[in-house]
Amino acid sequence: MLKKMAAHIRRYNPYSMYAAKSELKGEVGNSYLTWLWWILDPVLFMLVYVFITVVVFKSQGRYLPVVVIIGLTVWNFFNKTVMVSVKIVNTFRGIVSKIYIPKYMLILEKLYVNAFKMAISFGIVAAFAAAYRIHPAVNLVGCIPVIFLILLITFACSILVAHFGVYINDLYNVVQVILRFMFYLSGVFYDVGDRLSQTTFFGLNVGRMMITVNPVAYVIDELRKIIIYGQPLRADMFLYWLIISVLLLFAGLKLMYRYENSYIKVV
Amino acid sequence: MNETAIEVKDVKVAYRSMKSFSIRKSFGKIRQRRDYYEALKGVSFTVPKGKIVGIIGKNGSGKSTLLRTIAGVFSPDEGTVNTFGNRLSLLAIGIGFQANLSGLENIYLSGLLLGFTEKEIKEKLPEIIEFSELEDFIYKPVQTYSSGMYSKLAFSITAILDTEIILIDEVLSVGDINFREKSYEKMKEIIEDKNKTVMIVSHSNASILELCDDVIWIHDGVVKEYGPARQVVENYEGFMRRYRKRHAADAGRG
Repeated sequence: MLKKMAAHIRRYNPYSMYAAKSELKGEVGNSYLTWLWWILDPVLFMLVYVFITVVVFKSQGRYLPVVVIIGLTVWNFFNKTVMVSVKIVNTFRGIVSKIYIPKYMLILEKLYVNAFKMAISFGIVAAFAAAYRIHPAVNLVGCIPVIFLILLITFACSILVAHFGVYINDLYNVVQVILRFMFYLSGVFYDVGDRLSQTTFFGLNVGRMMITVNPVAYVIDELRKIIIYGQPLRADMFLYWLIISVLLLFAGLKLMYRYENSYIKVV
Repeated sequence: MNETAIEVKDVKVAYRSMKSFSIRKSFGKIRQRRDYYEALKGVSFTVPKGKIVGIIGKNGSGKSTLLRTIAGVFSPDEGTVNTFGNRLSLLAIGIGFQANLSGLENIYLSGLLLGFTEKEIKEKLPEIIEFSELEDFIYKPVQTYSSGMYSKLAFSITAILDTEIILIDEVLSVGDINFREKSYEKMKEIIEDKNKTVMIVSHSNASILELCDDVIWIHDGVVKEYGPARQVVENYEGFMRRYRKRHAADAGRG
């Protein structure tokens, strides 16, 4: 299966890349503020969360805007890619009913689009980090495997929801609810390590539990630790999530290759 | 000329009519029955390079399923289809477009899906645009096109970016009267090119006899006959006459 996948990626990746480029160009062409939206979107949301946290909940962290923008950067990427994948086969039924394309290549196109936006958002993180006088440490290099991990886990989750999304009409609503729940448990606008590291629930450390069951919470927490506090990558947690991601990806690909024949008859 | 372009070996394709369902509506319901229908029941044949092969058979016999299986849209449940690395396209139907993107971008996307490189597509671009007669519309999103414009673009892409193997599901007439004549001529030109291997599904025996060297007659998911066009079409017509008479007699008795 891996050999087949490698051959398919070589063959169809130019399509996914070109489609992603065209989609991004299309977004720029259709909007008055053009590419500025890609910067404004995370910044405006960050301001809303900072306002809620500081003004409404009277809570303040030293690097709150940086904390929030890192959370939003990762969350937006994961959330947008997974949501769009639920109906991806249906969206592209005009293509999949006329020519063969491995269905995960359609997900890969959306992943490229959102990864580009995530890269811009990381640029904003860098700008805010500089504004808050956070000096880049050597450990910053640890961000690279963590970013690779979020790409991998997002791809794996997207493949799984895309497969089941073909057969279950209202999966979109179900995934939406799950993601909303996940959003609050990912520490997007609060620091899991800072706020929950001492909190226990039935004898379990809540902070530790969150990053053990929720990959987005782990990635956000890890990036904050590396970028803001200059800490090194936690190899044990990274490996733990890497193995889970690879297993999920393998399961998703196996399902997709096995059933993609019948997708055309269902959509 | 004896080189094989397409090899179909013991191909079986079954449809499991598994409908999509809603979690909300499924609460408390017993599992739905799944229908199972075997469209191809072990089809084998080879097509030599440069041949034009027609596929005939009555409605529901499995012709389009066979063509789509060769095109790779369906992968066989059993058996294999080998096209020996040749690029292949389904002519006239179109690859399917991304409606929010322009015609120009869709030309690139379709070409990439067919296995062409960006450079190869760029070289053929002026010819495709000219053939499609879309002029400045080529820069507009496909969702703004009329159905005629859509078909013109679809046909032009597959006709100009011609692949080594061409599969035609019905000899289609596309667009207005002028474009219909032009597209039919173009299709004939492609079909007559001796470097191309062509398979045509059609209900028009006249078209099949005019265009094809050999014919495969598919009946209830199996190959009933494969041979020279005239001979197979005559046998098929005889069979269909008897079939219609039998049906008329059954209807009369009923």
